[in-house]
Amino acid sequence: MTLLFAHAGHWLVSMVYAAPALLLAGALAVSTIRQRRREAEKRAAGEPVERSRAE
Amino acid sequence: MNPLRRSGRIAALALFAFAAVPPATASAHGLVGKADLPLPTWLFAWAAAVVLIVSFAALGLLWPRPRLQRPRERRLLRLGPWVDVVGGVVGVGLFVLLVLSGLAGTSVPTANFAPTFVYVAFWVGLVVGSALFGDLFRVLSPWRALARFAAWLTGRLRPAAGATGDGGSGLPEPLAYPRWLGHWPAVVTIAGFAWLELVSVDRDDPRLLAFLALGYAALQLVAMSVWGIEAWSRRGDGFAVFFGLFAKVAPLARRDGVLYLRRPLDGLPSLEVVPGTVALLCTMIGSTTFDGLSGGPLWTDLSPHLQSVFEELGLGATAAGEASFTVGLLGCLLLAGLVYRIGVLGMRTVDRERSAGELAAAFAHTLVPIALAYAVAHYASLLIYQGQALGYLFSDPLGDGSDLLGTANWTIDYTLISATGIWYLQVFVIVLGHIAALALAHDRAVALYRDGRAALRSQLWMLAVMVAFTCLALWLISAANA
Repeated sequence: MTLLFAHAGHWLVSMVYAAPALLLAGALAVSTIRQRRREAEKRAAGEPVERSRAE
Repeated sequence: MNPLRRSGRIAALALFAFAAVPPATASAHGLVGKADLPLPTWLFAWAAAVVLIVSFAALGLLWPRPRLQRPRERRLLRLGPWVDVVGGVVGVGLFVLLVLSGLAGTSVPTANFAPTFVYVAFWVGLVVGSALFGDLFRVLSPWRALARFAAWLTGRLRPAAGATGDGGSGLPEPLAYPRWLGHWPAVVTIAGFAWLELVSVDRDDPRLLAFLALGYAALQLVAMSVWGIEAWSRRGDGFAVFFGLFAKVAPLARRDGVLYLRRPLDGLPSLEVVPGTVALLCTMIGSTTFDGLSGGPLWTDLSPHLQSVFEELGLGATAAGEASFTVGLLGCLLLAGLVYRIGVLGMRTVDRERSAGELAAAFAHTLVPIALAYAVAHYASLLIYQGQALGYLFSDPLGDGSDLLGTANWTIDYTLISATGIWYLQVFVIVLGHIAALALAHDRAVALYRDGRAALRSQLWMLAVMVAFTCLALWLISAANA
């Protein structure tokens, strides 16, 4: 832990670069969780669940 | 044409044109040093992310059907077997010069031909050459040329000797190359070379480089005699596979003695993915990542702590330093693999009918332009500046004061391009490489999924992968510029 805090400045500066990727990944993760919840609710209500179709 | 689609196309073209034009300040500086930038470097990473997101939207709007899955080639001219002969002679000649200068030349790395040739001309120059002109290494490979010559000679001397091997040489049939082995020998080669370049303290020792070159060539000749020249070159020869992957980006391809012209990137969708291909591509990206990381402040802070851990375990200072760098290199290889894996697992949330392995293989070719962008951006200054050293090193390869070509007095012109110019070149190459990867991934997705919405949703995860790799690349080059 000492190691992490000793160079917190460099870690934080680096996080500024990672922010766009982290924001995008976070948004995708939230959207996926919501999608799964919606599918689970549809299944529970007995409605057909739309699935991705692949060739 | 639909007005909305037409205006979308115009907007997309304007965006690409904007991305392609370097700012006026790019050529305003004539000295090498720290880049003089009008904006903080992190803002470039954010801007690059925005460019990728807008490109993604433009692809979704303007690219509804697959366009790259079937290559369109136009026959240019016939380049017969003489090309292999001439290329082989040149390749063997350069190899002999490398070994000779390594063994008999000065031990001063900058005055000896071997280190600059290996790390600049071979490792970087040939990457750029392959991406522009096609598979140059296939023609220049000294061990392939020697093996083919040996097979031809044996065929001439023993024309009636039973079954024929490669090229009707009269040699026994080679063994079938094991499918499970795939590109794994290439992974070991490229990871080993990266270790030599980035970790070993003896990386610049000309004698060591000469011995390693001889050892590698001997290993290739043995492997070619066991599994066949072409089978081993396609799968096992690490450098042949490495340069061959970059050659698939090129607008030129030579096949069966004929040179074809094709669209750039056209060779990639047909990339044959075998065991180890994804690992190889992640090794290529990860090793360049570590090269950038090891020159930045984060690693400068972290490595002494790691080194002291290994010293406490009983290693000497040099070995502990190499061990800490080895850990860093392995960490970067794993990081590259992890970013791609996250993208693949994300795609699986949309397409549950395919396994993660199938999806990883289906989109593996999209990593090639990223690896290329990483290599070109990272080594641009090395190639531009240190590449000029070859002018005088060819004239005095042993560093003994000779002047064979009359160019021994040449010097490196550091005013060729400024540090700011190199920065903009790096940003441009990184963004362009990731847009190319995004286009390839989008094209594969619309080919795989009948449902356009599913294709787009699956590619949101690849967009995240591309944004992550872009931000990582810009962080690395900005650290080197700090």
